[in-house]
Amino acid sequence: MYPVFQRYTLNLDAALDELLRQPATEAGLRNRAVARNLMHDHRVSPAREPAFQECAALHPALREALQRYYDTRVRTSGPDFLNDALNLNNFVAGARVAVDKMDPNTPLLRVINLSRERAAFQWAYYEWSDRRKDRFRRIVNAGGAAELHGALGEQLVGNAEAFLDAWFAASSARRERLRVPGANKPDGPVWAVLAKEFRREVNPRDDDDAARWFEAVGVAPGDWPAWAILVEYPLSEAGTLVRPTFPDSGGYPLHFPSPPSAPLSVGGLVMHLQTDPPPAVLRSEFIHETIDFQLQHWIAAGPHYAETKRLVAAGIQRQRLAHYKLLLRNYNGVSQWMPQCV
Amino acid sequence: MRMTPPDTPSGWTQALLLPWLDDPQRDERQLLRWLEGYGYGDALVDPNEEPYVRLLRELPPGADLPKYERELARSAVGLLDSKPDLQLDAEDPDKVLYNLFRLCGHLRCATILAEPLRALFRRNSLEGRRYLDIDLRHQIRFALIHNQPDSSLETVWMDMAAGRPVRGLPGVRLDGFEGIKCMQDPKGTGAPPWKAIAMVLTELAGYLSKSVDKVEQFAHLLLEIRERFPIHFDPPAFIVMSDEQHWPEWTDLAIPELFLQTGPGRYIVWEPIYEFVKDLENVQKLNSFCDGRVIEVRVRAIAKTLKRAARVVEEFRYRAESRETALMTAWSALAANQWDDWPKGASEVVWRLLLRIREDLVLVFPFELASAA
Repeated sequence: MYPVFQRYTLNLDAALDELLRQPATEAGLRNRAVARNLMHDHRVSPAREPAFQECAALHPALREALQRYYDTRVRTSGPDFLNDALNLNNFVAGARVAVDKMDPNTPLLRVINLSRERAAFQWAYYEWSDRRKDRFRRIVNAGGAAELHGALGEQLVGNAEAFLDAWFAASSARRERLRVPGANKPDGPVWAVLAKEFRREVNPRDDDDAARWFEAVGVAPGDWPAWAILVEYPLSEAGTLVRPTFPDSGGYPLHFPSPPSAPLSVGGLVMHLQTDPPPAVLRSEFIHETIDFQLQHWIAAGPHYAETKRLVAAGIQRQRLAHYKLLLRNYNGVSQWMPQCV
Repeated sequence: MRMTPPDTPSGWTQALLLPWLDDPQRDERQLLRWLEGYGYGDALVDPNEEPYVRLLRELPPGADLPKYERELARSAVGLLDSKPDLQLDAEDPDKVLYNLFRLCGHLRCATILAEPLRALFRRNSLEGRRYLDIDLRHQIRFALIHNQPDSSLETVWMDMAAGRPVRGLPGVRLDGFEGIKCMQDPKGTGAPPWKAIAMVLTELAGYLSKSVDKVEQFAHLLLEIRERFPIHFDPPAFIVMSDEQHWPEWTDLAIPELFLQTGPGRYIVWEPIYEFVKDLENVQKLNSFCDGRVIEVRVRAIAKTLKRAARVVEEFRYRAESRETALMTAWSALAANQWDDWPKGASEVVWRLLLRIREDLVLVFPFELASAA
C-alpha cells in the first residue's frame, strides 16, 4: 500500500499506481512527481483529509481530484490553508500565531505574472467604476496571446507607474467585491519568497529576463513571452504567513514538499528550475491570502518589470534530482521520508 | 499523417485536442468537460489558468490553424445550440459559459458562430449570472463583437456608443465602438463599414469633447481603425471623414497626417501652414476641407520650404494638447532654426505667427501666463 500524506489512512493505490507507472517522458515524469508529492507531503494534516477524499471520490484521476480540491477548498473564500482547525500546523507567522518568531518587517517578494491575469483585467475593465479602467480596454479585447503581450507591453513601456497604479487600485476593488459572501472564486493564495534570498540569486537590475525570475520561484508560465513585475512588502502586511502544502498548489507538478526535519519557520522550499549550474542553496517559500498590493510595493522591489526572453528551463527529472540532493545535504532523514523523488 | 506532438506542456494538450478535433464522430461532451476545467490529463499544467486560454494556446499556429478553429467552433455551436444559458449539466455552469463565450470570441469563425451566439443574446437569459464576479453579459458581448460576419448588429453598437441602454447587453460607449470596428463586409472583401465607422467616431468625438485627454483618446481610436483595416485608411481617409462629418476643431490634432502631397506642386496642409506660405508666394488655394481647417494648395517656387515647415509643424501638431500649444512650440522651433536656403522673408513670417499665437494664448490663459512670468 502506498502512503498518502505520509500516512496510511487513505487508500489511493490504484490511482497512484497509474501515475507511478508512467513512462520516463517529461509528461510521465511530471505525473510521477505528482504521485510522489501526494504520497509524502506530511504537511497535510489529518483534518484536511476528508475534503480531499471527497474530491478523489468524485474524480478518480488524482490530478483532477487535486484541481477540484484547489477550486473548492483553496481558491475560495475561507480557504482551508487559512483555517486554523485544519491547517494550524502550517501557520508560520501572522495574526493567528500566538507569538511571532519572525520579524514583522521581514521583506517578502512576489513575482506577478501579468500575462496570466486575464480575468482580473476583464473584471477591471467590465466591472470597476473608476475611469482609469479604459487603460485595460485593449488588453481585454486582445485577440491572441501575442496581441495581449503587445497590449500589456504598450502600457508598461509607455507609463508603467500610471498603469500599475491603476492596476493595483482595480485589484483592490476586485478583492473587496470578491469578499462579498456568495461571490465565486477569489484568487488563489499568493506565493511569496524572502526578498533577501531572491536577490542573492537574481539581480533584477542587471538581469532583466523575467524567465530568470520565474525559475528562481519555481514557476513555469504557460504563456511565452510573458510580462512580469516584482512586488516587495513586509511580512506584517501579509496577514497569516503559511507553509504551503502540495494541495495548496493545485497539484502543480513543479512543487516539491519540504521534508519533516525542516523547521516550520523555514516554510516550504522552492524547487529551483534552473539546473545549469545546479542550485547551491535552498530558499524558503510561503503562501498567504491575496492582499491589496500597491504601487509602493512595486517601487520597493526596484521598481522592475520585464518580459521573459526565453522559455523557462524544463526537465523535471533533473530539477527534482538537483533539489533532492540539496535536501539530502541540508536535512536529516530525507531518504527515509521520500526514498525516491521521481 | 500528423506528427507526434512534442513532450512539452503544449504538446500534451495538443495530443489530447487534435485527435479529438480530427475525429468526425467526436464526443461533443468532451468540450463541456474541458470548459469545466477537467479532462486534461497530463496537460493540466496551471490550476489557475482558465480552460479557454489553455485550449486556444495549443491550437497549432501553422496552416492547419483555420481548419482546427473551424472544428472547435462547430463543437462550440453544438454546445450553444443546447441552450446552455437555460440548462447545463455541469458542476459550475457559469464557469462553462464564461469559458465558452471567451473561446468563441477568440476563434476566427464568425460565419459559424454568429447565429447561435445571437440566438443566445436574443434569449436575454444571462441577467444576474456571474463568474469571477464578472457579469456574463460582458462575455457574450465580447463573443458577439468578435463574431460578426456582417453589419446586422450595427444599431446595437450605435446605441451603445451613444450611451443608450441595450436590452440584455450592458456596455460603455467604447464597447459600441469596438462592436462597429469588428463588423465585416458580408461579401468577405475586407472592406470597412465606412459609414458606420464615420458615425461612431463622430459620436465619440462629441462625447470626448469634455474630456481632458480627448486628443490622445481620439488619436488612439483612429489608429485602432487603421490597424483593423490596413490599406483602407491611407492618409486622406480621416481628413475626408472629418470633412464629411464636421468633426470639431480639436480632432485635427488627433488625425495622424495633415500634410500630404496630392500631385506635382499640390499639397494638403493644415491651415496654419497655409497661413505661413501664403505670405511667401502667391499660393493657389485649390480645395478646402474640414470647415476650412485643412487646405489643398498649389505652390511653385517654395515647395521645399513648405515641406520643411509642414514637417516641423506636423511633429508638434499630432497629439498636442491644444492647437495653441502645438503652434506655439512649432513656430518657436521654426524660429530657432536658421536654414541657409530659407527664403527671404520666411523668418519674419514665422516670428509674426509666433507673436500672434502668443497673443492668442494670453487671451486664452491670461492668469497662467502672468504667473509663469
